[in-house]
Amino acid sequence: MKRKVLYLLVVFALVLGTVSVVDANHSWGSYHWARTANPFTLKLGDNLSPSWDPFLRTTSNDWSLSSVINTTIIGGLKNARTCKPTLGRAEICNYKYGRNGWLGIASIWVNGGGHITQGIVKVNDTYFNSAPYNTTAWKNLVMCQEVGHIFGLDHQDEDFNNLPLGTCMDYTNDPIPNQHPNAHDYEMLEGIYTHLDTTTTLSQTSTFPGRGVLEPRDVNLDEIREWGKQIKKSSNRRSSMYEKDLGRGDRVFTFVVWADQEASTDNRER
Amino acid sequence: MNMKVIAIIFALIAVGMIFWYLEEIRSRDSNRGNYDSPPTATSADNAPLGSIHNLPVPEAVIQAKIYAATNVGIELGKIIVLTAYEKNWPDGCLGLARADEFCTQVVTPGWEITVQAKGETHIYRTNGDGSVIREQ
Repeated sequence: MKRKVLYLLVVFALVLGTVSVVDANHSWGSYHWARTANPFTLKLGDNLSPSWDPFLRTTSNDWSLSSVINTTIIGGLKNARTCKPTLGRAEICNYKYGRNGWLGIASIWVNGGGHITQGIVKVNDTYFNSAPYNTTAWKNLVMCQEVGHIFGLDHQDEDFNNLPLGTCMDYTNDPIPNQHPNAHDYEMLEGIYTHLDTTTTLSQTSTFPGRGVLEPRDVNLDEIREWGKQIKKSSNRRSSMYEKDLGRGDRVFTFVVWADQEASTDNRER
Repeated sequence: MNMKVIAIIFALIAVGMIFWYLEEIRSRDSNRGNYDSPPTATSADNAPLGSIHNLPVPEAVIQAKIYAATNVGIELGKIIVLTAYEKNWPDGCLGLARADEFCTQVVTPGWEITVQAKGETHIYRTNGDGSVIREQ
């Protein structure tokens, strides 16, 4: 009896030394966000043009049906062209990235403990602006899939020609049945996030002090939407001044002399 | 040494390992990801051809990927094309003449292709079919 107790203690000690925290069959490299409680909330930074906003809202609502994850959409801080990451959250961007071969791409950064610390999702308007991808179904599928990757999910299936699985985590030629997560995705998330961690890699505030805030080099002044809020305009409306708050007390001011009255009016109304 | 003492020793070792493990995780997490570091993984890594992460691309883009994979020394599937734009280069040297190099003075249609490989970003200029590639 005493010997049995001894063996049990040895096994217990060995198991502790090789503890495995994730057991999931379509998790992405066992990567996951560290957090101390479930459900946890991941902030999605909206760096999208307005036409993409409904798709991000749909994706956010879909994934928040999970019992372990909530997502919340907050204002983005990034230049959509470069789409640099922010610690503790995911940045979601759209831009014409050219004919580079991807409709969407998700990138994650992982620390030494195997925990995701930041992520970005980019969707490529070069393709989405024309057929066959300029449809609601394609946009839902790609946005849903890339945000799913950010949680640490991989594809459920990589066969294009089999019957659709009814999940956005399916590689498919037919986006219509695959625009949202399915029950198996939620089960996988529960599997990945069953355990709790002793710390968190999630942002607790909208920005991290001193890091993750917008840098002046990130501001693309070729994009009107990057100029920020109009704070002054001349009486004849031919000139305006815009202010963009970069955080940490840093601001970028953009002074504009409009070429014609129409342009000034258009931009005041944007 | 009786069995009770051995059991206590193992129990103490087990408790010690629990604390060591928790501290290890805590210290790793306190060293958060580097803001400027490359991503650990992207959804386009080794994506199958035809998937939403690996659509057919122009020949110049394929050639730029092969060029990057060869030069950097990694597999083709790990080369991520960040952007690929059609450009008109000012001369036959794609606007990147070397010292004392003669370049045909003719506008050359081609591509500007930015790739990410092993965490580094490379910008290539190509002619129309990618048979001429120069790193910017």
